[in-house]
Amino acid sequence: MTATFALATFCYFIGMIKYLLHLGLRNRTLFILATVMIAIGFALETVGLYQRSLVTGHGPYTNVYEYLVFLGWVVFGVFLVAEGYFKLTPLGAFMAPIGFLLMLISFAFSPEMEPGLPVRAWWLTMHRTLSFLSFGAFSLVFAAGVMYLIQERQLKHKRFGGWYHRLPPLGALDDVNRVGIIFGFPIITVSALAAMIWSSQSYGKFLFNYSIAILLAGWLIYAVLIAGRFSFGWRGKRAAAMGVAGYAVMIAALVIHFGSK
Amino acid sequence: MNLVVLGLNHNSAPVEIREKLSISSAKLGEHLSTLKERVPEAREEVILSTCNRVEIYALVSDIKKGIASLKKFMADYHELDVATLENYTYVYALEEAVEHLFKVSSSLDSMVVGEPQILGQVKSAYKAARELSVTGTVLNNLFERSFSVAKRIRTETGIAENAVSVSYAAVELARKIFGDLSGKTTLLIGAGEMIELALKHLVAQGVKTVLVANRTYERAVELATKFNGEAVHFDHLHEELKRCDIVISSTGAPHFVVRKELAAQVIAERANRPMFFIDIAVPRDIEPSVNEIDNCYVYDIDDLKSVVESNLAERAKEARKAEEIIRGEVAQFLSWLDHLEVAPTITELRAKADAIRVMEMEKTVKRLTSISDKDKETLDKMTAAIVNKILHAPVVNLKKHAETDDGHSYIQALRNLFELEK
Repeated sequence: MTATFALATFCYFIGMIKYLLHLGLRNRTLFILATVMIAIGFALETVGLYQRSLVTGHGPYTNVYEYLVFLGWVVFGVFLVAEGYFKLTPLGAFMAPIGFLLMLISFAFSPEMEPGLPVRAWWLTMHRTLSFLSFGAFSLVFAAGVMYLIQERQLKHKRFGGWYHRLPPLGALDDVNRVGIIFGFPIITVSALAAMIWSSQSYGKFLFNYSIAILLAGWLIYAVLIAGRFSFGWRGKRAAAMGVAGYAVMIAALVIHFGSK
Repeated sequence: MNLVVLGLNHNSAPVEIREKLSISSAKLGEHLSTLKERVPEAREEVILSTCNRVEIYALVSDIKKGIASLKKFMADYHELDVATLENYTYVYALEEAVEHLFKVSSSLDSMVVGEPQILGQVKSAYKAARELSVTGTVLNNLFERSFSVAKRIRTETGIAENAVSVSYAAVELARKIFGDLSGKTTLLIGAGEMIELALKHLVAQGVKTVLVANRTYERAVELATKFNGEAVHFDHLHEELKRCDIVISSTGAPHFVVRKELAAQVIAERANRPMFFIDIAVPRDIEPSVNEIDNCYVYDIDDLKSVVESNLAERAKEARKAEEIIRGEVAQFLSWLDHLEVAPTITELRAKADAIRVMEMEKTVKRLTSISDKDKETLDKMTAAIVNKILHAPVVNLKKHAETDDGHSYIQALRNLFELEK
């Protein structure tokens, strides 16, 4: 299974390089090959995750290695759907590195399996699955936000470097932000509720620590963003910047959370 | 069989000469037939005539002679002397000719690199020649291939991607801001030729509603009718701006028509939906600091010009990629051409050698009075064997080398050595 993941990571790597090259060269063939490579990597990883769950008897939630591999899987899954749906060719150059990095970092952790671990709590599993899914959606929002900020700068400063010609229209990127938030926010909210229910059930109180505090801060940013978007018409640069900021906070929360394991 | 091009274009000849030598599409057929008649050595031919170029593509057996007769034809037809014509023309032969056509079709040789019309013009020139049956295997393949090369370059490079006119650059910027322009509303303030041109492009991109504001309401109505739009009162500018995504302004006003405070208010009332101001008035109509407001983009005429310049530079970069593609395609075409030439060359070589053998046999047999029929037959077999053995190595080597890069020169060398004419 680790071999399968390694192979998947290799495919992601090749796909990522091709996306980056495509960003520079804008060669259609490169783009198609990149998507094919990522799809192959994703299929391999899916098989790997399935095999692993057959052995362990539960989902990939037991250690940091599994978290990272699963996060990578979600990022690439969301990416493949988003690329097909939004048809934004430069998206891969921004999102594939995120997924690849997650996979790469996973190699630094022990891939040991903990078979037979009882499924501890339904709410905990729910919390984990949903927060991973929302991470995928927010990665998309982040990637679109970075592209938006670059493109907006080009248009405002009237400097038309390579980026101007390569990045998608602002309107399309703002759409990605909207759709990403619409999917990501409810999911992370339910995930947070699930965590609270689980902690009150198993400990009789709400757990509170640094990573939860930071996570809450990230959630708050997204909450303000979604409220601002739909009631005050916050869009464009502000929405993009908040998407990027929220993601940075999420990453910080993840690092601390994983660090404490 | 050698491909040659005789031509002139916007670089080699001034417009006075080009218009004198250009051939209207109505007269193209007649021109082709006259060419066939007066230059019989041209085995296949295509004439391309656009406002920027006149070119004759022909397949001749001798490059120098062929070009000379084409020049004479062109000069005679337009009543010029050859020496004058030569000042304005260029000549390409063999692989340079192939490369030239590929460049022309894919618009690398155009005045505005990447312009889309030329491919259609080359296609219709080829079609006209084909209908008159003055093309054959070589030119048919060459032209068909040039079309696919042009298509390949269009999809694989960004050569035709970016606007190179000010009015189209404005449309392209609008697309970079909004993405899809269908359903967007445009407001015209003032009037002018540029404004109409930009608007035409925008409407072609699907812009939905066109509003026209003018100091004189009648003029606004006039312009609105022209674009199937809606005239609005200048005094209601604030109200009208609220529903506009794109504003094109070109008034003669000595002061700003849209100030920063107004724009800030409007954008807030629009719930931050982006606005794109295209200011082509001098002095300017839109206060430049409007650009500082989030979701507002202001471009004046100089900004648009610099977009065009940057796009031209981008096209030049893409053109280098295109030339790379063309080099590969030229090599492929030449190897096809060589294959085409190998078989007839071998046949001719054999025929020539055999003709010599038969002739010499006859001469000898005449002198040998006492020779029997059986001996004659033996002699015949022996001479045939000698010819075959001598030719065996050159034929095998020719076939082998035809596949390599300098296959063409092998074929030519062989044809020259044995004086094979066609």
